[in-house]
Amino acid sequence: MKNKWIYIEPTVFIWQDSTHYLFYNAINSKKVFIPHNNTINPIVQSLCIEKNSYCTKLDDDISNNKEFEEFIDILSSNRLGNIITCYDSKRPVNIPPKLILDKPVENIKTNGEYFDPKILDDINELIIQLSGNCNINCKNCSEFKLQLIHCSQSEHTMSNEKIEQLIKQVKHLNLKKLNIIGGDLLSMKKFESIIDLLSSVCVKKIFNVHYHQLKLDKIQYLLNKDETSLVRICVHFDGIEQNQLLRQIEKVGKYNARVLWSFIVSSENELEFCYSILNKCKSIQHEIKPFYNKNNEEFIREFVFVNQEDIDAINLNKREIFANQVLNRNYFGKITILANGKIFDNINFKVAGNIDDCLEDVIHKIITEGRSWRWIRSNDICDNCLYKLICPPPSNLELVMKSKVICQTPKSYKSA
Amino acid sequence: MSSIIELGEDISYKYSFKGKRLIYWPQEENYIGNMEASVERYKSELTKLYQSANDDEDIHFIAMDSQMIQKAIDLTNQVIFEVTEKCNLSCTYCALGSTYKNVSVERCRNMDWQTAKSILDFYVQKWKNDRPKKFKKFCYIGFHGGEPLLNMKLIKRIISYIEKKEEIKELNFLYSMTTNGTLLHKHIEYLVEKNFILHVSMDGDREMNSYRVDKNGKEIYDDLYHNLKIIQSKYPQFFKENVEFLSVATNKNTNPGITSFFNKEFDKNSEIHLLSSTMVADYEEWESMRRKKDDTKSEKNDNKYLSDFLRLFSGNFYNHYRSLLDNPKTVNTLPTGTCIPFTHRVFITARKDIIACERIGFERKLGRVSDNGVELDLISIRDFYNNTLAKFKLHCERCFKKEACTVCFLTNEKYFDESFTCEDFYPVSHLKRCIKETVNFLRERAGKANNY
Ligand code: SF4
Ligand code: SF4
Ligand code: SF4
Repeated sequence: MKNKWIYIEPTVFIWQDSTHYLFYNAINSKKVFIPHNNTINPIVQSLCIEKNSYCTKLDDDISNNKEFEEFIDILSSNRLGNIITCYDSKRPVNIPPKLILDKPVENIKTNGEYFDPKILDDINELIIQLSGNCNINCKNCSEFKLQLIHCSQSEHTMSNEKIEQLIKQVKHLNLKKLNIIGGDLLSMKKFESIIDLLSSVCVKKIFNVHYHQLKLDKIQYLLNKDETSLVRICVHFDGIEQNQLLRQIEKVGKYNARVLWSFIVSSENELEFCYSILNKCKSIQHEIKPFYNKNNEEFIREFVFVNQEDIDAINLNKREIFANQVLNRNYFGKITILANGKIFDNINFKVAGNIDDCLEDVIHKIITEGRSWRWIRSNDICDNCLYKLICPPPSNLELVMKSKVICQTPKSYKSA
Repeated sequence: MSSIIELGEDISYKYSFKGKRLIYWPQEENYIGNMEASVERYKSELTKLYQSANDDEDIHFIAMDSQMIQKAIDLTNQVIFEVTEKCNLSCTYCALGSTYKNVSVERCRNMDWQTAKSILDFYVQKWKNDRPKKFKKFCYIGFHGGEPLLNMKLIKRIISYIEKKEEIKELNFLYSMTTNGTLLHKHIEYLVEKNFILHVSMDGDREMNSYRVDKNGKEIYDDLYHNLKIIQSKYPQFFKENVEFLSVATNKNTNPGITSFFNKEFDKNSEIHLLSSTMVADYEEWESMRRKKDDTKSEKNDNKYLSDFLRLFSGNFYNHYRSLLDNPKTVNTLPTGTCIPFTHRVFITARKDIIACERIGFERKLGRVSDNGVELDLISIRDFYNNTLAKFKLHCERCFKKEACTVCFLTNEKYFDESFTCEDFYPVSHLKRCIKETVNFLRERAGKANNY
């Protein structure tokens, strides 16, 4: 005899809290909240039993139940699943999206024989501060680097010998990006010879300089020397005169494709200033980065924090959701080495090691201690929120604002 | 719908290979209908949906270039010396025995000190310059044979040379040895002192181990067992941490049999290997002794098809955390599972040849140690690999295991014939079978769980 069956598509995640289910289809990013009720609770429960493979048989009399009808309508109109009739032996069996990791961190040993020989492949981006020397004395200098990839002052400078050693090692890493920061990079002694050294590393390099540090001849040198490099110029708007900025933009105009203007904004006014610049220079490559200066919480909330609309717009595929379950997609694989030799996975966290330590040990420590690389919403204050696996990964901004969540009104999201 | 594999009406499923999605595909008669006017309409909506997916993947095969090889050479941190060709045993299935072509009447050489020294000097230079301790933690030195314990003199000299080298003082060296175990009693003190990792070859109990015999054809089981028990009682900690077993899958043993023997006798497991398939001379004999790959798989998964499906085709399986991050639409890779030579190790024979790895035929020399030191010609190595890889590419492109392929073409002599087919080739028919069996298994499992 044929029976009625309900099944869920294999790309659909089902999460629940004490009052609601959230169905998320990783293929069309449809997100649907359904409140618990006595009709569908046992059905969802049964669907999620592993041996039932996302499919369960329905009682005959359920079809006329209104709650059930609604449920099926929601499922099928959002392509989350459907209801069909068939023989038991032909029932659907779907494999739910459940991450299987062959080599979870827990299995990485320090012992030589079982050490992950490719552990250094975990590093995908390096930020190296060559020197902390700078005479500009910006007001918030020590704060920028906590939120952005940004220059910062210190009394340390890496010796050329150290730089050389470091570059030798960097060549063996499988990096996607290498960020170079100062101090005042362009004023470093032996700037040219350092650029020559760096140009031997075949990876996309980004040299980060401050607007007030601009030296066109040096920029020209480095861009000519190294085909793979790019200069990011960060601009803070306090005390900047519009015409002067426009003139500078024009001067570096011929490198347009290889210069990225990074506008750092802390207020509505600055944001408007920024837009007016962009209106006049339509073709420049740029990014706009918010900066929390301890007095602009309102602005940051407005600018960065997610509201319902943002959440509705999130479209993560299955792999990205899996990633959110176990790691921080912002920070995993990033390493910062400061001019004083200290190594960080994230500058807001404890020091992870030193340039003279074995790098494999440092990475091992970072990955097994579950620091920023594995900083996820589930371990944090968002643990009860149904959005924890689709919301953007926790970020430094949340740390410096001591706010812990980036939703505008967290409570209302816990169950829509 | 891109790369969609039709599985036939009877199963009510389709599979999207690039998106790794098994999609339930209802038939007319199954349709109850909620949204769309007809099952056709429903299916066309479903098709649109899966077409819109943004995480399809593809593989693009590239060729090897000499830079890849150079990088691998610079990073090698495992050097394996064949310190001697001699062996005190004459195992029936030995790669150097009569079943294989490797055998030359004069398997009687020891490696000379000059060869070992040239290699050490070559790598010390690399380790010192490119790989200070800051970067890499361990260097591995392995000793193979024949039976390496027959040339302890050279082993000791190599180790003392390494220990005296100032330039590499800060590196951690780990020594390991693959041995038949019959001479362990003579040297165990030194091996314990140097904290050797010992890989002892043993196939199980007396019967399972009976291909392992000495020159007179006498089984060595008793001597070996005795030696191991002595080490276990005299150096319990060392035995626990440093001794590992290697077993060959033959017609005389089974995986559960091997496992239960080592569990019971030594509280350990054994790594089970296939009989070597390189340079086979007597195929008949070889066939009679070997067990095939599938029989060596661990039997712990309740269904082989399901576990294959989950690993290869579900899109739920990832090797590392880092693999969750790269989100490329197209992966660039070499055909087959052959590694870029020297990525993991380098093997030096007693005859001064440099070979990619100890598991492959000794004919496949990539370089030599001469009076001038180490000679490696990257261009000819590259061409040698690309030549065979190019032929494989034609198969691999149509193969559904290409993403998780473990075939190393150097381990099978057949792959050097002008025309060959890959033994592990996984055609679409295999994929279909895997999916059908998986679906059937899941249906049955669900039926049993719910009593219908
Ligand atoms: S230019 Fe950069 S390093 Fe210099 S003071 Fe300003 S923020 Fe600090
Ligand atoms: S509570 Fe956390 S996970 Fe939930 S919406 Fe807010 S920030 Fe996102
Ligand atoms: S199994 Fe054979 S055909 Fe398939 S990818 Fe591997 S080498 Fe190529």
